[in-house]
Amino acid sequence: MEDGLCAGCHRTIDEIARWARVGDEGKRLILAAVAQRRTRLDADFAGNCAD
Amino acid sequence: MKLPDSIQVIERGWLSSNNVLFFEGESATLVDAGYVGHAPQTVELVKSALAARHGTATLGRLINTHSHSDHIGGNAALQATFGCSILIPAGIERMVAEWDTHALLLDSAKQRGDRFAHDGVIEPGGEFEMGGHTWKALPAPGHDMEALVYYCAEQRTLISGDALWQDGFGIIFGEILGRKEALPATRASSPATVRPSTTSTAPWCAPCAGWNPSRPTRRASAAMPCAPASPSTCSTCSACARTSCRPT
Repeated sequence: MEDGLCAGCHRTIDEIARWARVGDEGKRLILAAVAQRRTRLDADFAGNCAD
Repeated sequence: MKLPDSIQVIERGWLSSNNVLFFEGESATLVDAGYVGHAPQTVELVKSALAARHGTATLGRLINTHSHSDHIGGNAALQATFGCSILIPAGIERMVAEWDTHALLLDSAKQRGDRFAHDGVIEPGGEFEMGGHTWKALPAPGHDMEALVYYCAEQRTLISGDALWQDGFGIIFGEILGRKEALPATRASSPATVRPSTTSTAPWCAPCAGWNPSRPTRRASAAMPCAPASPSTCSTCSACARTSCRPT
């Protein structure tokens, strides 16, 4: 875990804890947030490599 | 099938045990503790769930279904963090007390676990309270020969540990260990909802929960078509994010 995110699934602790009870729509919202984080993390990673 | 508000399933990754949290006023009980390598995350998840449940101050008790590494790995960390008592199946008491890593199937599976001290045992057939309901411990040899599953007749809900996974899938180690009598008549309990320790926590139907001891295949329920108890049959996998639907 880094920055409060799971290193594997990029969800927050709160999102993982709530996952089983939020329903499919709630899961989609979380996954949309995860997709944004991954885009940001990928960009950060690419930037670090460029240095 | 919706679980009572007093029960929260914390769904973990593929091939890691889920954690089931039972709220009991100011305290709570957790069933199964995750891998030792995931222990810091398990502690944070329990803290988060407790904080979200205003008025529940701490984890008072931890109960295991069996001794495998993804079920007892977080025991020591949870005990150190919350000071909770730990109850284990009576069949593994000697192994835990002596920390017999071979008998606990840690060595043979190349797994690790932090040693912990247990505070008591649960006998097969024993009854106890969790989350405001009465649960009965049923022996479920097969995946682990000393495993217990916990059944609440009032809620018709079974905490199945690894004895039964979603869609009837599970891994039976009894034959590997030379114990042909693996798989008991746990199906006699006829639960309506099963909370597998591993895999997705989508509601499960009663017919699927009963497996056939004469067919100890790895997909015990594959040949048992049945109607899901809940019309909502779609679930999203936390590991691969795919949504899967089962036929009604």
